[in-house]
Amino acid sequence: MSETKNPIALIVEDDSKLAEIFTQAIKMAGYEIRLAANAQKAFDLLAVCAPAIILLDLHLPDGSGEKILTHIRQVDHLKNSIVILNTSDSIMADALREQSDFVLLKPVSFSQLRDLAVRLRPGG
Amino acid sequence: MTVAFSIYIIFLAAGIIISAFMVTRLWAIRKTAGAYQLVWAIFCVTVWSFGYIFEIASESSFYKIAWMKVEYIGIPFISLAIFSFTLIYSGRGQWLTRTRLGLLAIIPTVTFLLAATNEFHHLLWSTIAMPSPLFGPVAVGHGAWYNVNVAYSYGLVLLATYFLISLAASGHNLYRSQAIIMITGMVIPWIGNFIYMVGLNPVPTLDWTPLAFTLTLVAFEIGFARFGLMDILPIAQSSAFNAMRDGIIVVDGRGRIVEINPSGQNIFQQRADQMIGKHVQEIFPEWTSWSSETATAFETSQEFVYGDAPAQRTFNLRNTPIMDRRGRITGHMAILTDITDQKFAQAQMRLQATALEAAENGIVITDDKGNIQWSNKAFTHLTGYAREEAIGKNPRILKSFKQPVEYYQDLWQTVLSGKVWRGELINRRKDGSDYYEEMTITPLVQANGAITNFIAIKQDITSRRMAEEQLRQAHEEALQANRMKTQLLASVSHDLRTPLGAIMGYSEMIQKEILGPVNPDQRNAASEILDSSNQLLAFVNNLIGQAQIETGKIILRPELFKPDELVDGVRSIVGFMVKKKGLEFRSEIAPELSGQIKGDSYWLKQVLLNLVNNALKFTESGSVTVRIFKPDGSHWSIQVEDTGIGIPPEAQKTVFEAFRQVEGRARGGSGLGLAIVSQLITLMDGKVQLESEVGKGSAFTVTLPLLGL
Repeated sequence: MSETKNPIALIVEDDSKLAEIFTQAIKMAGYEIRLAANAQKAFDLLAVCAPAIILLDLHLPDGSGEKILTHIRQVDHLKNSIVILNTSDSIMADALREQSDFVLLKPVSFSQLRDLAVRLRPGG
Repeated sequence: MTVAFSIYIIFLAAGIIISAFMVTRLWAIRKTAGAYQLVWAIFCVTVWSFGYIFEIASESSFYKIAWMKVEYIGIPFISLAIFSFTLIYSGRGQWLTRTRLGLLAIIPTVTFLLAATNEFHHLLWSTIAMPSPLFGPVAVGHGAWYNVNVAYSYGLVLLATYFLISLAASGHNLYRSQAIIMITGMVIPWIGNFIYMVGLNPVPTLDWTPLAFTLTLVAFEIGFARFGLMDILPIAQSSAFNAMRDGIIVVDGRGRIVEINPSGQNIFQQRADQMIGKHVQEIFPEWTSWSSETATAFETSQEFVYGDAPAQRTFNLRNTPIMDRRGRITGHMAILTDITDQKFAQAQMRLQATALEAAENGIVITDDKGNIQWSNKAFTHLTGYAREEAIGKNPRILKSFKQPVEYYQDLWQTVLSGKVWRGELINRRKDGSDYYEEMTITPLVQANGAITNFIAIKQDITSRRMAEEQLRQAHEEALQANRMKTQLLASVSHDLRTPLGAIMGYSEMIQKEILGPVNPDQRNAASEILDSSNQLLAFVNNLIGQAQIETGKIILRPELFKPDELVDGVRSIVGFMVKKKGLEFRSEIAPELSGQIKGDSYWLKQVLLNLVNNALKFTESGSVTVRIFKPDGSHWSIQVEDTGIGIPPEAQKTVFEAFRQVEGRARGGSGLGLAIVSQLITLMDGKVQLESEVGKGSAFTVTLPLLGL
């Protein structure tokens, strides 16, 4: 029951190993994790929940994370979601810096991500 | 005797009637030079004849003397009138000024006055003897003045005769016959006088002279009126001779100059009186055809140059032999035409024509319809059409049909409105191959606005266009290669970062015992993995930075950051290495910079990491110190100082070049780190300084402008 009290973090990442590391780090920061391995899954999850933070990989097998970012910024119930872009493309990261709250360039250190998630925890 | 006198009176009356008739004829041509003088002469003779009739016929001695005096209204002036006429007629009219005529009239006037007053002094007539019976001429004795009058009259008549003879000798054929008639008339009074002098006069007291002069004047009148059209010739010839722009020199058979006109005098810069009489070769050695030995009977011409530069002139010399009636050459005439300007103009035209022909550019001149009138050699070279083939054709024979109709319409619209058209055309040679040309068409617009010609200047730009095309292709290929390089780097970056993320993430999880407890050796192994991964990551980031700088894609995003966070970020990356090498990592941040400053923290971190990595690489003992401080009010600095092996002075200049490492300093690594630092700092409008001493250590100082908050 304690899970429901925790804020939700959505991790959009197609690489399963990175997904596992990010999950561990953010879970340690006290979030309930939703995981999407592709864009479609991400849209489905965003339709049913309002995550506090969204860790968004821009490079997805079924499309660009950019579309998801645009969607988040357009939808009313996601207006409080904090978007952390996670990408290996620094040019792309630069282009989307204005629309996102944080930009992390891969590789992201485990402790760095955990510390950031702690800092962003609502009420934390 | 009485019968003879009566007959003579009839002759004199007939003479008067003829004179009246002559005057009416002359009246019609009175404008002709000499006509008035001739009328004057006729008047004088008529007065004489008239008076003489009454002198003979009068039956009283008083009247006879009175009529004799009337005769002297005419007699003294006859010779002057005839002299004046011949003078004008032979082309010497300009000599006869009013003053000279006035002076010449003194003697006749005195004669007239003395006749009127003879009874007081008897200077003209010493004695007067009345005939018996009274019907007949008066016999007079000659007074002193009488002889003066005779001498004066003879002198003038003699001169008049000379003028006519010289005219007949030198003049034109037609003119000569005119002059001969007049000379014949002139001879009559001489014959009359001769008869009178030798005493052959059938009636000794009768003076035939008025009749003789009447006949003279009849001859003059015939000559004058019959050849009326010719009578201005001598004057005209003389004026023409003087007014001609060509120089004229006449030499006689022995080569002596006899005449030269003003233009000729001008050419030789000497007056006529300085030249006339001299041998032609003294004055004019260039005239080689002056002598009859070298000349033919025909007109010849030669060119010669006279004078010294720059006043040097070129003349055309036409040599005309002067022949007498039997065809013998008696002299020569040279006509000198100044052809300097003409020759200069010709030379200019030849030069222009040569230039047009020799020009490297194809030149075409067309008429107003565009049909080719002339083309040069370069045009033939360019198009394959010889001039003979091109002339008369329209330049559309060169059309390649590779350009739209509108292009040509624009061309024609432009040039037909009188404007210059410039453009490039793809044209077709005679052999069917295509070429590029750059063309300028200039319409020749006349003062009234009409276009008479078009001048097209063409330049073959085929090779230039092909070179441009090759360059464009090479450029395109280079761009393509560059795009591929960027793309490759992006995918390398992605493909390296993703597995690196997994390696570093799991290593950190092991190290931090998130996956369960580990022993010290295992933790150390995880740290080694992390450290190596960080080295690899730094290299990847340097590679990407270098690529972005080279392609100009790097974007600097200055934002606020805390210097101590920058240093801490680097410290956490290199912490394991520092510890492993037993070094000390120190940082000194000036208190006034402990807050936030502005800069691109991502690339500044890369700069600091590279400098620290470089320091750690070459330092085996001691410390690495990072200092952040303000050297002056408008700059801030990052300094990384180590206690390592140092850099020799000769190598200090090259440490910032990419992919270079100082000899003996090979410690692994690409040599890219310091190059990236240098380039990034330059992009940030800063500079990097290096102080180093071999064996003691190095200090790199980056100085950047403080950006406004």
